[in-house]
Amino acid sequence: MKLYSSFRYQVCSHKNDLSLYYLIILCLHLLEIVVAVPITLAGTENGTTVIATTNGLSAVSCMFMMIAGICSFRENFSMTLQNGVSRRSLFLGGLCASAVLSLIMSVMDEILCLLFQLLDLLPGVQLESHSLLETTYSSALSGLLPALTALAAIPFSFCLLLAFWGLGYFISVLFYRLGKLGRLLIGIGSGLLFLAGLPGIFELYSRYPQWPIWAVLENMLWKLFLLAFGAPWNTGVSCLVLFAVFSFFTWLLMRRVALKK
Amino acid sequence: MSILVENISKSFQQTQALQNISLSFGEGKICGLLGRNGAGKSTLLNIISNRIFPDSGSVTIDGAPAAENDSAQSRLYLMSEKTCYPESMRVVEAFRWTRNFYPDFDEDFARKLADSFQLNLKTRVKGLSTGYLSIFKLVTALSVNVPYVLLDEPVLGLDANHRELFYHILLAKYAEKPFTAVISTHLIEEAARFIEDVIIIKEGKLLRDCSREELTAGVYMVSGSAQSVEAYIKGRKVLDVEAIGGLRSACVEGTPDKADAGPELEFSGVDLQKLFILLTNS
Repeated sequence: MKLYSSFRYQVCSHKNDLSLYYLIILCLHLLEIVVAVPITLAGTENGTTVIATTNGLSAVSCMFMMIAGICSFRENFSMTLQNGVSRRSLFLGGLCASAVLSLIMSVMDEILCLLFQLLDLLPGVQLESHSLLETTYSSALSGLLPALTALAAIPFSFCLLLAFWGLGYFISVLFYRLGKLGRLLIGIGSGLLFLAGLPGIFELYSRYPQWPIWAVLENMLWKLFLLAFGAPWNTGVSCLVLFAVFSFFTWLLMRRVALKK
Repeated sequence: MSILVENISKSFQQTQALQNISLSFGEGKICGLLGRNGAGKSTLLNIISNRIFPDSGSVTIDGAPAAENDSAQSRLYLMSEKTCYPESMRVVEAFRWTRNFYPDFDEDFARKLADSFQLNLKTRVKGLSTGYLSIFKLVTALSVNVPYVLLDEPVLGLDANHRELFYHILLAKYAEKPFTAVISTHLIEEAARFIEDVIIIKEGKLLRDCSREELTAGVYMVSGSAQSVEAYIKGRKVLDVEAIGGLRSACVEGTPDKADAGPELEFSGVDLQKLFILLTNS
């Protein structure tokens, strides 16, 4: 098995992207602080306060992971096939690599979050820095010690990042398998769904609220939403389930994929 | 110990690329895989190296199934026309990663070869010209140290000097430790010097699978005046006749029958390229 070689290659192929990503994030946040602090200091005299925030870092990391997933397949597939790696080893290596990347990023995100929380202690600095877990589930975490909350944020982010990577990788393999027409149809179709389909449904909902379907849908979707994302652990498990589902369909698409010319 | 291809068929939409092909690449031989453009050579090599799947049939490498089998695939390396390395990767990085996948990859040897070909190790794959891209892939293929090396158009874009250097290194490497090299090339005249076995594919079908001697021994040229050549070839299986003025030159299957020939007739062997053209011309 060339599983370890495949895993090692796939992890290392993201080394530069990951370093660059955190360098940019760090620079952006530092720039934000550098800009916000003088305004805050000047503002305290006339009663206005500017609060710099680093919230949302996890969400940006999720986007990064999805894009990393999208970019992971094509190049790695041809490189590993060139070097005698089977699709199975590429897939399993990819799963392991995504777990390692998610772990690194969830730890890094939390470290950055804590670092910016420390900066808040400096005089003249008003800085809000919370992890996605704290921002989304503040009431559920109210009884927890700050240290435990910080620790809990790591597995929470890990599951979230994993799900986004799974989605990105699935999209990438799906588009690789599809022909030109399929790519066009799915590309335009999903664009239309988001730009016209969903607003259309909301428009119908606002015009005809008396339709019984809305009550059924609302009831069902809300229950489903609560079950999947009602509490931090539910969200974590739901993300893992999503990751497993995306990975399963990715494997179905990948196991017979041929190298394109 | 061999690569065994059994009843392989493959089609791409309306095109039948391979039709029920069965052959084997023996251990420690230099084999020429010949065919015209679109004959199915690259398709065959891609199936052997697990890049594409056949519609039917199977491939085994030293007895183990080749498809989706890491250990079987680690016994072969395909240098293909398509570049499978990431474009942003530097040559030296590609060498390092090849060692990650093929532990027997000789990086020092690769560096020496790169130096002989004046291949800059720091150049990125996307920055290499067609010729140097072939050289990069050749250097990797020759340093990987596996029992089966498949070379698909290995000298594409190489100048005469580099082609000679490649043939020289290939033979030296082969002499030092024999391995199976399958060379798919259109430069038959050059490759004929060291090819031991010949496999000819025509329109997806296997036309010949034998040793080079066997193939060329069964065909000869007879030349002389038009009248005497015409008389000689009557009743024999003639592959081709060329006429220049009053002279005729015929390519005949079988062995020369000098007793039946007049003194003015001349007999000679047929080179591989000429024979290939005769066999594959539609």
